[in-house]
Amino acid sequence: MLRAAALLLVLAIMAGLRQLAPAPSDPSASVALALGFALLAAYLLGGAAERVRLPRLSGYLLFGLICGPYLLNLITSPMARELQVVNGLALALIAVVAGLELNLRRLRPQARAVLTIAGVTMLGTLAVLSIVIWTAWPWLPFPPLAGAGRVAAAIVTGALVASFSPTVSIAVIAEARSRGPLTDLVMAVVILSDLLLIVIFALALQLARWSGAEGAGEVGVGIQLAWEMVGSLAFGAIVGALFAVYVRVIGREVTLALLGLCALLAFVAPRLHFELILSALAAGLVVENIAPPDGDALKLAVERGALPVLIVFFAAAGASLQLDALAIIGSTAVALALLRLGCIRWMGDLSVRIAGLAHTPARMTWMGLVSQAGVTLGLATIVAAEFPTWGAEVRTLIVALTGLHVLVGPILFTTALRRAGEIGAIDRLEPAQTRERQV
Amino acid sequence: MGAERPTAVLVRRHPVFGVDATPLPSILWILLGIALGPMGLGLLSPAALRHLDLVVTLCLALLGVLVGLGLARHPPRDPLRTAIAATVEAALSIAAVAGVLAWLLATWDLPLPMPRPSFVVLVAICAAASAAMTDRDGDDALRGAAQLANVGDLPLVLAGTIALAMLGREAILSRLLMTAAAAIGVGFAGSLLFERASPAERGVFLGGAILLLGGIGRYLATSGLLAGFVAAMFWVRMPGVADRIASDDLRRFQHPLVMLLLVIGGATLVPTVPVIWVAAALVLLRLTAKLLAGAAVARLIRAPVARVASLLVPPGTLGIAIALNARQILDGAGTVLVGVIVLTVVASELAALALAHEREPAS
Repeated sequence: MLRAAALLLVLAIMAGLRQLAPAPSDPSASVALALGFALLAAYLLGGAAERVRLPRLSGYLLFGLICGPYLLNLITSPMARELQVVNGLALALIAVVAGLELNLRRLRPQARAVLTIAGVTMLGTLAVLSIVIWTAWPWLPFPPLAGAGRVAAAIVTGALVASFSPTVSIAVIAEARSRGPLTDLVMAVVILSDLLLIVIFALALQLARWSGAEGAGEVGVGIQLAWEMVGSLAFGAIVGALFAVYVRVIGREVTLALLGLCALLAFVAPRLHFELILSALAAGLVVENIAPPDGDALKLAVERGALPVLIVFFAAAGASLQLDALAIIGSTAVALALLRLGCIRWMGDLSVRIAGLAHTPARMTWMGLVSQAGVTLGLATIVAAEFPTWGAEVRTLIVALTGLHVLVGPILFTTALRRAGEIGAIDRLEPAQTRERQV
Repeated sequence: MGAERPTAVLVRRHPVFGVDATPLPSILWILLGIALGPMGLGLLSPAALRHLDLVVTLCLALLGVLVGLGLARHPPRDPLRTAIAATVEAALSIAAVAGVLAWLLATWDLPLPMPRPSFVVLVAICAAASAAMTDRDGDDALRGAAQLANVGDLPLVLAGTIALAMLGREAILSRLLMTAAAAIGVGFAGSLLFERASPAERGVFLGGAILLLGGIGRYLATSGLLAGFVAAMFWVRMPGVADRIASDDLRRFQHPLVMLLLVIGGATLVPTVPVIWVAAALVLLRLTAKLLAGAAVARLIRAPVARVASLLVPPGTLGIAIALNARQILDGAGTVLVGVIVLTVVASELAALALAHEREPAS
């Protein structure tokens, strides 16, 4: 009740300010207001979402959608753009958290199953979608293409449509404080799929360049891939090792140090053309698997640091959902979303059977693979820039699809985690730590 | 008693109410900012400084809250007498500096990026901030001077906010009232949330509240200092422990944020001819004004005249905060103001060091 009153109060303050005072001409003058509003109101709405058995993340997204430029306009378009100031930090933090949760010794027995599920689901979905897109190309709202150009464009578009979101899946896991077979499996599968996606996308992009003589493929695909993947992992590992030394030797202000690590990764990785998620993941993996810290300092730091960053990240994502893209390309997007959902479901079932995992949680793995978010949008932006004749239309489609999947994905995955009984398992497994946190 | 070792003067600096002494003197953070900024290594480029605008907004609200909480939670022994003395001291300092500086600027005819009266008033307000040392074992004069400097932050927050609001868009009074009303709203929302929250949730609520308070000031082109101060006073007046929670939790962020504020201040320094001339004059004017104003009010707080006056010489973080606040509203024009204040703070720190050095043999 008190929280509902506080939420209404914060909404009233924001509405009053927006109504009574004109927005400053400099968009950066509204960043702090938008961030504070998003942090408070999205968190409170997330709590309300949890009460009706929706994931908290959906509450944050809904907050962004409702208060964003298309509905209440309490967060205007420039404010929504400014809110994305946390995107790099959030992506890095989410991937570091994923690395910290990935204990390779614990995962080793499942390695074959993870490889099978990721490979079959990703490649199967990609194959089906690419064929359907190639066949339906003349009827899709894209400029006409023929021959090898159409094949390459269909594969690139198929890779984008098929992609999974490690960001959202890991964020759901972190936020639900889940642990168990399904959590471990989905986390490993989405991360491996992300690696696969980068390889497939780079190859498809190169194929599109060769076939259509569009874009400038000056650097060999092999060298580019090696730089992007090996370089990302090496950079992340070095930074992670330095962080591990800090936690072990100094061990003070770990929350600030963790946020500093993520800010460093988010700032440096794109400038060196590294894949941010891979670098951050490698940093987390090194800390967890090579130099795990003693005590709870890092776990508490993650808990303190991750919550506000996740709230703002998903509230900003909700506010930036382009509903007009969905209106323009709605029927095509819905049809493709349904086809993708079916593919992930069927391929997921098939892969689990091939991997020989008969237990029930594993059969729900597909539910953790439906989300799409920032990585896909980033790749779509690259396509739009490289292939001006058809890339912009593909980007609009991907924006609409991402909007659908970012809303549906967390709900599906949280349902799966709840059915598997893994939500809140971290707190149950570590009651002493939880008690300590509550003191 | 009574003798502050020169190094201790720098180390035990206490910028505003409720803020613990920083582990390193403020001058070092300013010099670090100058070294990292466009004048030095260029790591803090103008683009990077634009991104750090959010940190300034956050710091302003945080300082406002800390001033409010400090005023209410650690009142001076004789509140009315100290409040009168602090207000008189601040007013005398501002009037003396503004009057002479206005005459000097009219004589020199230096090119300024903003109207001369506004510039003079803002410079005088920023320069009036003091940061007397705190020393819980110190003598009465030291404690009296510290309380005077601390309570003196309140008239500076108010005067600074009004001056900044006058620089901004039209409808000055309504913007100031909206700032106060919205801050009360945020304070009320905070008091509903803080007490029943887990530690992780408290971080979200407190962080959100501070961002909102800073954001209100920035959005309305007034000041996060005022918004933070009003919300803090609300938390203190409301039943419950919202003020204690805010005070305890904000302590974790105060040092990093205040250090960042000083680093940003240092990095913003662009030493043009007008900046150097005005800063040189201001150092002398400020020193004289502080000594005179301190001497004038020393009797009110029943402390030795000479000691109180000299103890008020060290400059406060609040001056840099108000200057950076003005830069947010004025954009490029405010850079001159920040430069003047940064140079003045550095020189005044050194002057305070020299004064403390002078006092040491006497003890």
